[in-house]
Amino acid sequence: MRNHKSKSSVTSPQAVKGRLAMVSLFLTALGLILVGRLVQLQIIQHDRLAAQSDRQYLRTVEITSGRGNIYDRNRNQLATNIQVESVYADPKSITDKNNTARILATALKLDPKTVLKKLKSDRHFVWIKRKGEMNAVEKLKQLGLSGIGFIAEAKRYYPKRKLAASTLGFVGLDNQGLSGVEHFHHAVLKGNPQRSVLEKDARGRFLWTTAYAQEINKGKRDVVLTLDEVIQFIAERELKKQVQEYQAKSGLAIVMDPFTGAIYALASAPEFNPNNYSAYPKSFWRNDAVASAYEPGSIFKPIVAAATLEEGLAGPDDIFFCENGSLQIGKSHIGEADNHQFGWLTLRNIIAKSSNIGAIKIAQKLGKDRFYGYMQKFGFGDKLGVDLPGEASGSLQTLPQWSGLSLASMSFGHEIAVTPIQMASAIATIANGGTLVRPRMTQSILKNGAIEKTFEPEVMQSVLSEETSRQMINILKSVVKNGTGRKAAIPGFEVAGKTGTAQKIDPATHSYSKSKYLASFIGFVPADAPRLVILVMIDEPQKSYWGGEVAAPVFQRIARKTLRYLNIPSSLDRVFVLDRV
Amino acid sequence: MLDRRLFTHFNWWYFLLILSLAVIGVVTIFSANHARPEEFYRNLYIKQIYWIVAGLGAMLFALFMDYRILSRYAYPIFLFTVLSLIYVLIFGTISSGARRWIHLGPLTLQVSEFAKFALILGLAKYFEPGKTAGQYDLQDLIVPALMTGILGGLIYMQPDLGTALIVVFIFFIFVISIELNPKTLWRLAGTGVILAPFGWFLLKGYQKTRILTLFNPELDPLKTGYHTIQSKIAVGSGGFWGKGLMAGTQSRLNFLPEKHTDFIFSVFAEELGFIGVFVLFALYFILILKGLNIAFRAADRFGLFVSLGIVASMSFYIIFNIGMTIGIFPVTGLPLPLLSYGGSSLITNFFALGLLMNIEMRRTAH
Repeated sequence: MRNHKSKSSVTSPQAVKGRLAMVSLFLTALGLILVGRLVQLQIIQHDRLAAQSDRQYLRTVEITSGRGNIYDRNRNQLATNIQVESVYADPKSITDKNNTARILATALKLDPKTVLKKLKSDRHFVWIKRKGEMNAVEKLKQLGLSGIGFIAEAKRYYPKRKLAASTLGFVGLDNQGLSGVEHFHHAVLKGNPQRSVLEKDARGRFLWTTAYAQEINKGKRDVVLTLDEVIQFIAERELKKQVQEYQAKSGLAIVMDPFTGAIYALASAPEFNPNNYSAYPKSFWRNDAVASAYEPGSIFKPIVAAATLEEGLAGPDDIFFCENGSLQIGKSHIGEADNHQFGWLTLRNIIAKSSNIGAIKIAQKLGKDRFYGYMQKFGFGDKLGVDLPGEASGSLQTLPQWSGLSLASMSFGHEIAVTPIQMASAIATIANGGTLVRPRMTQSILKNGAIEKTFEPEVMQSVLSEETSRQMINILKSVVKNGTGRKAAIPGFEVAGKTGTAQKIDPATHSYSKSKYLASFIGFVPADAPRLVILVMIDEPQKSYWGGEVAAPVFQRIARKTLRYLNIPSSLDRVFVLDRV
Repeated sequence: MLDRRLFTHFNWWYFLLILSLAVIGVVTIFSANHARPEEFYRNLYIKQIYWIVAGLGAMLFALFMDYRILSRYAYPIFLFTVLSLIYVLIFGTISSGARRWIHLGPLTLQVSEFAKFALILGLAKYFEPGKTAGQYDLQDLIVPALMTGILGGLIYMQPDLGTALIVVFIFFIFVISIELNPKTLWRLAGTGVILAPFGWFLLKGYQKTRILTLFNPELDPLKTGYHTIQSKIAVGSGGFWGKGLMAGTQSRLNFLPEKHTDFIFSVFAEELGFIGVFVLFALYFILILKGLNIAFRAADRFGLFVSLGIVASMSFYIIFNIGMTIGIFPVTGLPLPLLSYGGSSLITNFFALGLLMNIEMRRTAH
């Protein structure tokens, strides 16, 4: 070829350029094939392919709106949702399974063997950790492990932590309400499923798009409770202090409105944090105020007295002989607490001094049938229908089951088991002029933030006349003024109430224990225009077991602070105002 | 070497055409990755802009030198390229099962991208003198065929079937274009047709599957066929008007593979529809046609063959890439010139187009 080089001009450029036309033609032909194919795909087959595209990424699904919030009566958030992230793996795309498993297990504090087992599955999607701890997930993200992905999920969150935990309850991993309000109102809170068309990616996951977020909040329902977070806080703090002070097994407190049945606070000790409920023993989760029944002891006496007054069988100042501290019924001897030896006592003083024998005498006046009738009227032995799950009915034996001792035992609160909420409602009946009102925890339901349904106070039945109610209020005032409940007195307010010190049945011996007591105080304030009914029960206190000693001060502190918070004027305030006029 | 008249002869329209194609690429890369969770992918379009700037530098370099210098160094460049390909085969970085990349400091270079360019120079140099007798014979094709074979073979061994094919096609274009004896040309075409089926046995297993699934993608809908099926769905569901920028469900929901590199056309077609594709084709058509025109009017034979090689190789890239996304060619992993994400490809293309413009300018400057 070298010999041709010098004669390059010999070759006609025209020949080459003729061939260039062929090249252009060839390329144009290929280009036209492309155009033809595009016409076929984008125009002729468009409908079919578009349908195919829609089919693979659109899914008509029933999605449920995000779980509703729970508010207190002043719309403070008690339960809400926060967005957290869950970690999943695509085992097929992980090459170094051992190493990945080790990293995941360390970062998320999981068992390496379980993680490795998950990574060895032949599926394309396995959860590694649902709703993981934020910092851990964030660190994991930065490692950028291949085959590990993250999905945003809503997690139930209780911003006030332990506050009202046993009332609010908690939810499971898939937001199913497991206890408390969460369980009772699950149908409302979980939202209505609605048909929505959502996008799905190539891995078949639904995408958390803005459209999804909008859909998911449509039709969201919130629950507003009658609970007041401030009163709840006060009750919890005072209760906890006393339970710790007396090294008690547990304790509970109820604060409610005697006229409407609205529950302002349900405190229980020990508490738990619903954000991490599984770390606490199951017994902590229970809402004892509605789910457990106790032998009430002496706080039950006012009920017996009220029934007797209502029947006109005795007046507040009628006298009863209290047998100097010892009464024999059948083979049983009944004595007084602290070995008191009362002689003649007025009905008022029987309550004020909490005489067991006096209570028996009053009950005997009433008789078995009327006694039983009043128990039912006051709501004992059956569920009150409070809007919380797991309500117990307590136990009230039917008349044929009664022994010769039953009437006597029941008159001072034994041989009968009542729930704390039943007890509070019965005392509320005395306080409010004689009407049993259904206790309730729910104030209203909100839909998209607006009130959808309001729950009104519900009268169950009329039990006492106003006259009897007034007489009983006066009797219960004297308990605090000069009886066993002096430690419940609040300066500037008249307080009505009753102490209780119930011996507990020892499960080992099936007889009354000498060391295990239930100390309680129930009362209301201001006595003549009651705003609050408060029950305090402290189970198995150690240093002292007297209701007037252990429970009454808690009642006093809760009541005093709540009255101040609610701006209820005391008589001291009134004097002060008058002075200035 | 610098000629002031070059500036007055600079083809601004052609330059703007190239730039607008690159900008379409940036926008499509952005759209393809905007919804991805990884910041790395979301910011790829910015990296692509850097690559374009680097490409413009390469273009400037190609514009300012006299392309005839390349004639002098054509064979050394070819030799150097062959050596680098051997180097890659031994020391290159493996990615997705192929040894294609070498590291130069912070950069990773895909040598095969530059290799085809060396072949163009080599072949142009070989055919530059022409033939006294007027026409080339079969024996004149032995050396070019060897050059193509060595280069193509080394690329094929990486393995990079796509680029190896491009190299062969560049050779074919030269065979058609030079003054080959018409009889020899027809005889060659006949032999080619007869021998083509034997090429099948040279292919690796997965390469055969790719070709088989081309004719029947449903043969293996979850693996090899998956790319083709999803890409066809993307292009087809885009329809006449498209789904709109950033609204392509096929790309956003990750049904499309390699969406910012090899399958960028699918993203473009899904989102901008037939109308957008029409505009894109028009731009490419003008780019190629003007390129052929430059070759046609080149001042000398070297310029003619270099520009012809550049235009031919770019055309094949475009045709193979788009053909792959719409299921008429097998999936070969060739990028779409100027649009696909990737530095090596962008810089090579900008340099080649710069050279093309240089060839045009020199013609008018002389």
